[in-house]
Amino acid sequence: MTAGLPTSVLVRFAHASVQAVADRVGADVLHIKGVSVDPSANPGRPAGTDADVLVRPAHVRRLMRGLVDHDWLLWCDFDEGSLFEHAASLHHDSYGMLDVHQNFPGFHHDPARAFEALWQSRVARDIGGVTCPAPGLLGEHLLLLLHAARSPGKTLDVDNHWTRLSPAERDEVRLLADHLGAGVGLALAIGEEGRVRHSSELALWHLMRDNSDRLGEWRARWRNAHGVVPRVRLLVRATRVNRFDLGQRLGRPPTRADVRRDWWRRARAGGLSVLRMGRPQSRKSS
Amino acid sequence: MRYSRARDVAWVTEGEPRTVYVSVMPSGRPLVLKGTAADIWLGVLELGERDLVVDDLAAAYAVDAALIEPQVDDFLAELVRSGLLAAEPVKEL
Repeated sequence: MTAGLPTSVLVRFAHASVQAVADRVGADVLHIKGVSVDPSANPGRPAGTDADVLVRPAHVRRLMRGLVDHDWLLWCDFDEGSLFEHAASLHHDSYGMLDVHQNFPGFHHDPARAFEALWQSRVARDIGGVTCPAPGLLGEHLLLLLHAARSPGKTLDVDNHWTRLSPAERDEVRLLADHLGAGVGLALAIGEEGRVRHSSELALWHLMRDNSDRLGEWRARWRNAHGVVPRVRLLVRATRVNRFDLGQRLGRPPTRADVRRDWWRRARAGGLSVLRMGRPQSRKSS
Repeated sequence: MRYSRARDVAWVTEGEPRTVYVSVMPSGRPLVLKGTAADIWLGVLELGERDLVVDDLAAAYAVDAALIEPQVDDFLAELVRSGLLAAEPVKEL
């Protein structure tokens, strides 16, 4: 168990573990955020409480299989998390929590292209004596700004990765963001929302940022799912039980009966939300 | 004998005096080394050769090297068995 080991140690071991798995299964991963950031470019930034990696999209399945084969337990799958379905959470008895990102909000238009761009300018960081690839400085600037765009209060990252930059460096960050289709996220992070106010993507970012309106979140997902198959898949996901959330609420690993009960609860809650949403509209129309 | 950190072993130091946390990746159980155990680990990583590690420890603790040799050898053998250190004979020139 992880009890007794300092968090700073657990996080480093988690990075080292996922890198060892990636090496074994032939998966490209970039270590992001937390202890993998360049300390000179991140004064005052806390090291974090879990490890984060971004995996080449084509290598997601082999990495996830490899992690499960090496005692990492899946707590929250990609489609059980955020609107962008960008990360899965895993837990290891000896190393704590790990977030595997198959995508990063802001890079969601073409995750493979974004990963390749970051991979081409990667640097090597020593984490717990293990060599871990991490994004180069320009990629790190953009990545942490995109993170700030969906995390209210991340002013330190905006200071470190935008405010302190020279005009020439800012131009480089803008250029990379435009190249990777991350202009909306960057604009939100640096207080230029007005510049992208007509973007259809803006609603998604607002919902991610507010993280309160679950029904609005599903409506936004519905609008962004084009075609019958994606929408059927979405309906299935809408009622799927997040085992991690349920376990947290119960304070123990959920049983099958717990999962069944929670499925019905979610289905009922979803139905009631739709009814509540429909009532004022029907009054207006009458 | 010469010792080095085995492949796929991660290690972290924290605090003062230093505590060493070490684990075989990707899924080994972490080991916590304190006091002389931490000193032996750090000595191995810095000096490599068993004789140099023993001399260094003897000097640091102001004891006779012959007195601590058996315990150091036992501990190094345990770290090798645990997969944390690799051992190879010192090449004669």
